Amino acid sequence: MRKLIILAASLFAASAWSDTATVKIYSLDVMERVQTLELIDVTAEKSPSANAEGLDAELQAILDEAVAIEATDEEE
Amino acid sequence: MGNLPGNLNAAGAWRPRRAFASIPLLLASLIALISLSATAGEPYRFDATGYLGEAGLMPDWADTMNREAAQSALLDVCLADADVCPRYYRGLRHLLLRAEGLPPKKQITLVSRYVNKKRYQDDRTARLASPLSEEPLKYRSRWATVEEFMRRGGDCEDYATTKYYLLRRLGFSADQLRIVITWERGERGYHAVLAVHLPSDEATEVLLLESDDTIKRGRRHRYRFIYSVNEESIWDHEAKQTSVSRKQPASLIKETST
Repeated sequence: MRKLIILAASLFAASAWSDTATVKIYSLDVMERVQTLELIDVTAEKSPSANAEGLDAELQAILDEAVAIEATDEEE
Repeated sequence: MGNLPGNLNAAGAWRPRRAFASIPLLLASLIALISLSATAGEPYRFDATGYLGEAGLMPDWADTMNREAAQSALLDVCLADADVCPRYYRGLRHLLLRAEGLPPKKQITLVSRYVNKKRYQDDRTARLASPLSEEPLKYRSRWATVEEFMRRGGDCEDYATTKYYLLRRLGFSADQLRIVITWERGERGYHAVLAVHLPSDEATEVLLLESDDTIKRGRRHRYRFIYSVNEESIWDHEAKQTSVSRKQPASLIKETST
């Protein structure tokens, strides 16, 4: 009986230790991965594409008005 | 030998039947097809796959979110009163006020086209990995806020972040928007786009807002998705081993960030 209790206690301790170790590895992985992702240098420059869909009259008018306001402000 | 599916030739060597002889050809075709389909990327999906952690884990993005929160009050004031609007916001003010009543798809197109008209500027700065590090300089791009972008332009991730915050102002929820960092196979370079999740009556649609004025609708394209962020989360679309379920207790992640 005593052997059985010792065995059960050992198994319990082993499983608890195992869980802790897994959590630490997982947490380190996440932080390392985040640091790696942050180092990705994103600088692509794109010119307007010929494949872009045309704007409908309403949207084109709003866009033109906004650009015109900015142009006026730059002239001042 | 009589049980094998083939014949003996004149020299007495075993020769496989014609059907079996074509197996290598079929295998080669299959491999070619698989590699072709891998080149054409899958559409971007808005699910929890690849959830990596809270957005605050990424220091540069967290810094941008904090600056945006601090600076957004000026645009609020500007929208309420044109007289107190700085010059660099006047065109944007007009656009946002006119866009308010438009259907979501039109708002998306309008914001995307307007932001794409702004000046491109490479904003990389050289930084040391740490003050004590002897590693070579690493080039880092600072992600701009709306105000910073309107004042001096920016590069592709700044176009994406500005579209993100302008669409948030127009009523899109954080769950509908993600800034996605991709590897562009044709150009062989990293690129940022804004993904918009647009539920409609018929189906759920994902739009990728480009800085070249195109809007890609959930079809195959030449992107490999690396990671994405919004105000709440980071998703890692590549490293499946480090990806965890969204059900993972957040405390585990916080523990390492402190």
